[in-house]
Amino acid sequence: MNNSASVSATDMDGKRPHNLRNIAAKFFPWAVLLLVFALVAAPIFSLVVGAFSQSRLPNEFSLDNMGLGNFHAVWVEQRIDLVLWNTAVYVIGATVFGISTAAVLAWLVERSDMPGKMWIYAGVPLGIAVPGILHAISWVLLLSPRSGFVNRGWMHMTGAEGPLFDIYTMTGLIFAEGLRLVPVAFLMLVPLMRSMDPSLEEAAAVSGASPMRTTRRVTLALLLPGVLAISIFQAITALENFEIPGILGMPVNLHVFSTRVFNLIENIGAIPAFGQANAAAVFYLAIALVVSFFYLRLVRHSERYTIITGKGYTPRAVRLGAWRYPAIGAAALFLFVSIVLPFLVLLYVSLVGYLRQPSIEAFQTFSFKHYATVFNQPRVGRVMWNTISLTLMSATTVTALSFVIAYIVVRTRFKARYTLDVMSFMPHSIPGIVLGLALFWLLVQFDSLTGASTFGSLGSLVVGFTILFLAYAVRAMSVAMIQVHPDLEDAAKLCGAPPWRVAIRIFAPLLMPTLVGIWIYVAMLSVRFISLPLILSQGGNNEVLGVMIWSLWNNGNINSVGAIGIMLMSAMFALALTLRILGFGKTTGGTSV
Amino acid sequence: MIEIDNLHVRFNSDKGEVHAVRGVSINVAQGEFYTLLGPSGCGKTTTLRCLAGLESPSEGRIAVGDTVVHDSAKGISVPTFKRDLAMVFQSYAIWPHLTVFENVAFPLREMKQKVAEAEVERRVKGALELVQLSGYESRPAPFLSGGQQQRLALARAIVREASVVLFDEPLSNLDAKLRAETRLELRNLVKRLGMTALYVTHDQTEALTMADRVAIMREGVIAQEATPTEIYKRPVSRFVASFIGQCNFAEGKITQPATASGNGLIETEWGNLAYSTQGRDAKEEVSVAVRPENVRLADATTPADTPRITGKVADIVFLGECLECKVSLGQSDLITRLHPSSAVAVGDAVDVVVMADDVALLAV
Repeated sequence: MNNSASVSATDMDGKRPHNLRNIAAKFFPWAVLLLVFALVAAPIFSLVVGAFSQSRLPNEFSLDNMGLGNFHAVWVEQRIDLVLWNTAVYVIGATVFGISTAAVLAWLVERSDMPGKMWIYAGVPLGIAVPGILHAISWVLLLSPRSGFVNRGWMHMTGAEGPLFDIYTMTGLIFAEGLRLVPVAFLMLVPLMRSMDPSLEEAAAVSGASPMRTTRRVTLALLLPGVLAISIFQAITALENFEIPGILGMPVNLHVFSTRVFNLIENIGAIPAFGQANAAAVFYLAIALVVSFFYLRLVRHSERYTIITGKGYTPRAVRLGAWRYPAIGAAALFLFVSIVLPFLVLLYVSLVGYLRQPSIEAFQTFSFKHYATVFNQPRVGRVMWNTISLTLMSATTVTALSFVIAYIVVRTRFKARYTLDVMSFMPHSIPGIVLGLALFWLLVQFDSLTGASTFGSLGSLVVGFTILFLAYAVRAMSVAMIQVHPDLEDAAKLCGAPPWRVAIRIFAPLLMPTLVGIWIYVAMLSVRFISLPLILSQGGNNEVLGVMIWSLWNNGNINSVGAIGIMLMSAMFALALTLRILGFGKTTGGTSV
Repeated sequence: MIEIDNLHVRFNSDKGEVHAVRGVSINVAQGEFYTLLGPSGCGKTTTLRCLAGLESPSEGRIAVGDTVVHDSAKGISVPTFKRDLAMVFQSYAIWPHLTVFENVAFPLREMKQKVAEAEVERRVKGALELVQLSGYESRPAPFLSGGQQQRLALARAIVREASVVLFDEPLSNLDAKLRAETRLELRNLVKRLGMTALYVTHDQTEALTMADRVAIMREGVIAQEATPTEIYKRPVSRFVASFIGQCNFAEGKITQPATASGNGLIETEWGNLAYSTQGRDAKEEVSVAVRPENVRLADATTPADTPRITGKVADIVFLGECLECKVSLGQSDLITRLHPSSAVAVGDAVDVVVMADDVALLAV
């Protein structure tokens, strides 16, 4: 098409060492492809092989002792079919609840004349800042059947025997996970609603369709494919989530796939069944792959429903009339329940002398002593350092790698660029627990072969997070790069700017918000994500904050959890606000569809 | 058929209140092709959207046929879907989730009296045939080219047999060649079906070739309303004259008023001009407009009483169908369009003349 399309990432600078440069330019994309392939294939390969291994421990692995025993055991003894059923109910329930909540909020913000829209628009995405584990913990503190603040208060006030609502149930799981899905779903739905050409609805009105009929036959019909794609995307998120079912389901043996796999290797009082965990993980991965496949199919055929014409529209707001105030009330309630309440609960727990029902006396025991306790623990410094290093390294690695991949896919004519594109999307469907287990096998084998100690290192977590978050970053990066028209670079070249000046003066500034946005988002995910570190964490070398919260919680150290949680959430809110100020949420929201 | 009476539209935008339409009154007869022409932001599309009920007027009265669809004074406002009209959108607004057939069938399925399926099929087929889209019925609408989408939008507008069709710059997204072909096709179709059309455009060629009557709008008011010929030959203002085609302008003073028996004379910065428009007094200051193609080289056939203007050819541009010459008159210039075979060269001294009938006196 034009010159810049054939320029690859390596020949951005200089012209001198001609031959070398050409060779590098030719092989560099293949090297990237190989790297991505290795990142995805190696762990999965060891996972699958491990599933056939009938030795008791991974380091006793031998080719002589292989068989289908694990699959049989998982299916018959562990009743994985029940887990399958639970997972289906949980994923579908959470997705439906989350998407409908997000759709109502997005519609109110985009298409109605609800007062205070801007607050809701700015507030909902902040929910990303609340880590899932803290969300789940705050629900337990409020709604656990015997000791939850709400349930205790209810029983106290009404004299009822039973709790108002038991969070340790399937309904509780669906509720908590559904709420967690809302922010991202909202960010994806808003551009979808915004991009709809209002003349499509006007044409229906001019054709004689009443507002009701217009909504049904045009508006909803047009939004349906997009909403479906977003729903499947969110279903994948719910499917791979570990924190919510881990805190709310596992204690009462209410298992979904992610917790079942974890439970097979980390069950206190039982012998870890590594092979069986792998077999269960293979089932789990297969389901995730099938769902992702449907997602990709749906998105690929979405051009039929392209309603984005590249114009900015300002559709007329639907008048809510008397419903304006109930609407803003409901939206504000959502913000309170999903963001403010978890924060307040943890704040209370972190300040109160010992865990008790909120009351005047309880408030009088407020102090910062739990914060002091936390900082007096010798491991805390180590954990903080680990967390910060992990976050910085993961975010930087993912941003850099996704830049290179997106550049090759979008801007070069590299032969296998479509393969590279698809391959970099693959990890999106690998659940964190599965990847943790897969890396666990891979690293243990690697260490026993080479004598290295990769298992238990911080680097192993960086590799894991890079694989997990690569898909998201590459998609966001590609979309941003596509929007930088090659003519913009060509124009700069024609003005006499050498390639490296073009890169610095044109490409980099135009992409900077995206680069920073991806960096921050990956940093936030790295802090939030605990499933992978839970499996790969081995003592001080690579223990991170999420893992520490998990173990403190399981040891009943609730006040310390509160103190750490408050500090963690404050940092996350700061990051989320930076992200919003960059306007990044707005642009990436629609791109992942 | 369409009556718009003293229409005002005010918006609240980021920059404060915008008075987009300021007292527009339009009367379109049954079967007439009426065009609103103007630069972007002149209020033409807003006027059209008020007629469709997609925008609400701040003041004024609108009637379609015998029905008053809007009257701010009486608080009448019929919702869009109950108005007896059809519309072709600039973006075509083809529903991407429906097939070609279903797009056209949509207005029929929304009719108050249910239309039988056989009848729907017959009418959709008929409409598609009229716009030459037969055979595309089952195709998903986004798989059509731009020109086909445009015709599909047209089919959807005519299938309902509404008494009024509104066009909002329907050709502006087509390429030049297709636009030229479509112009006449569209006009002929509308005429054949006997529909009343209100057509909004910023393209002067469209307005001149398609319309029975043109209204030129500027800043929310109608600057001139007349037939295309009249608008072209007798623009009332500098704005109208320069918006439609090219024009030479000059200030002058009437030295001898035109009467029924003879042409008058105007003294201008170019020299003397004969003119024929009656009703102006001697000594009156006037602005005149002369189209470049009406500035001719004087020759043997030039009437003796037409004043000649002597100048020097300063510049020649070859445009294919004509030569555009700049004739320098010392203080001022005259642009003239000559037949490409004319033997002129830069530097030649030439005599040019303007016939009395070709001099337009501007009101403003």
